[in-house]
Amino acid sequence: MGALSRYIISRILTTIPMILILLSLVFIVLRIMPGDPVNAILGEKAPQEYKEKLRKKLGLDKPIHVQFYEYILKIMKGDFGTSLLTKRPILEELKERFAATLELTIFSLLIAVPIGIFGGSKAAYKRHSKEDHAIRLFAIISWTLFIPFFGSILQYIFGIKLRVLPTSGRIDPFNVPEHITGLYILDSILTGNVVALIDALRHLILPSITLGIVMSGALVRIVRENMIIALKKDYINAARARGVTEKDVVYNHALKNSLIPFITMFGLMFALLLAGAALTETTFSWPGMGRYLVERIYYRDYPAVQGAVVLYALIVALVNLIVDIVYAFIDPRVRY
Amino acid sequence: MDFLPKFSLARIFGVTKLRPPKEAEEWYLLAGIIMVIIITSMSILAPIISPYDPTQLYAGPSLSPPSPKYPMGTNLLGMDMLSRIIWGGRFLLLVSFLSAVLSMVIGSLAGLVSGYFGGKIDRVISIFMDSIYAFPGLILAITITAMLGPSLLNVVIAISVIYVPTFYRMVRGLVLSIREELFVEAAKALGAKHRTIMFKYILPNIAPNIAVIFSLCIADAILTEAGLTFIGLGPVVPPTPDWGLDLYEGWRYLISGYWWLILFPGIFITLTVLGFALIGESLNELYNPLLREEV
Repeated sequence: MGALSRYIISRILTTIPMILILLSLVFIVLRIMPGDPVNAILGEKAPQEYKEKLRKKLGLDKPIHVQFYEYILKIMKGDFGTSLLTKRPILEELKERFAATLELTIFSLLIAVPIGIFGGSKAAYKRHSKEDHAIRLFAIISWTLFIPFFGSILQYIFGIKLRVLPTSGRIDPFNVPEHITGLYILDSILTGNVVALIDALRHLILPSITLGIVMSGALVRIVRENMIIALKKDYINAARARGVTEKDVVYNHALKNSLIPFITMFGLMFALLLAGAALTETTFSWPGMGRYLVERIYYRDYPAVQGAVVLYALIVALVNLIVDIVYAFIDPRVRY
Repeated sequence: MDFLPKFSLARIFGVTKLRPPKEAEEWYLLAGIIMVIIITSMSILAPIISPYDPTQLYAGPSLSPPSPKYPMGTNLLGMDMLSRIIWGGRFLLLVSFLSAVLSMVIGSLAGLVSGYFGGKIDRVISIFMDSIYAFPGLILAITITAMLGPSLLNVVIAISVIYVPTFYRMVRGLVLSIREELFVEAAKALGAKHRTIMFKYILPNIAPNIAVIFSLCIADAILTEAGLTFIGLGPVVPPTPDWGLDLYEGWRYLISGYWWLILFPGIFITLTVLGFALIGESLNELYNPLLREEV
């Protein structure tokens, strides 16, 4: 067996404890910490018999280790329970919401990553110049922008004053394309539905600019720092000594090598992106996972809250696994 | 040879020689410190400097745009927005400062123990910290606050949980490299206790790095606190003046075009975060050995 496949298998095996720890963390936060879910749903003053009934329905009357065992078992079977609010299977609801969040995060990355890579490497190469300071100031300010604030400014300018873009939702309800993947952009391309495509894109512009600009600040910082470190390495001097053109040195030699640490940080960036997406979704009434979580907290739909948080944990573990495998493909040192 | 330790706190804050800033980084640092001082003193002095009681109904007409009498306008209930802005940073600053201190203490202690002793303790703590670190911070804070109930103490706990791993990872990494240094070996050879080595020999050497993270952590904690408030899980309820809460109120009526209700609270949240971020960023650039020019 090759070193790479051995590495991948061992990495997959080590993901299992990580998932278990994340799931236990969710369990601890939701069950063991002070604060009774039944009280949270019904309120402290609800009659005792109703409380007992709900406790039984949610399985909260059993000993805590039995509850934990059943909780892990159900998740492994893919059973997330049914919502108290809509009576629908939670996994089904989450699938729709996840598609919305995925669409938003992909388009935000399409804005953030180019800014991060070009801005960061330019700033590092021209360190201490005016350009460097301008780019860094942009990075710091964009990172400090409060998403609902930045989002509502955009909503005000483009949605209310200029009236050129919609300020909320994913698509006009009359234009929803036929369901294939749940990603409206992809679905409307696959079905050749131009009206839906344009409408979905118009709805995407403001939320993804908001999230993309805020994320780009962090990306610029990471790329710049790694690029500064890479530019000091001996192979850069060696390349220059060989007479490689300056452009080639910066964008080929240094940038490629400084992107390796960038890839290892992608798992963390993705967590940041999901957190930012929750606020963006609330600001733009975007029906994604973050908004689902907030809504269901508001309606005290306890099983749905648990399902959403568990799905977040699974996504995070999966993304970290993928990042590590990609890293092993790129950097052979990791495999051994 | 220079006998001042390279990373002493005195150097960081430039007290060895009082002189005007030279490099751009030092200007960033100065700008950040000034912004933080102005906003903090504004919040502390609020009872003296605010022109109206921030919760007084109909201090002016309802929803009046900025005018000489009400420089930041009034809200739906005619409360003076300038007074609300002056008062509105108090909870935000208090909560984010307390959470940053709490996570700094817990995270640094865990990092010291983990890095210094290594072995099984290290592995167990690391796995837990890495799991929390990998989880989207705001989502964790939302869930914890929702389960505990949104009181001031609970929000502090929820926010500090998400920054503990940041301190932990940084401190642990530095301890791992410092514990191999000669002066630590020497202290061990002289029979110094573990506690003495950790707190007297190792901790002072990483204090500047902790200061950098602390500053960035406050900046991020402010955003998280404001985010929790915007979502409806903040520690304050209307009519308490609070930037996050006022921004939320303004956002709800945005469609009617009352821009001053979002602009001013938003600007103040951003300026506060920016102040702390500038301090952290410039300290990092000035004192992070990997980024220094001479390396």
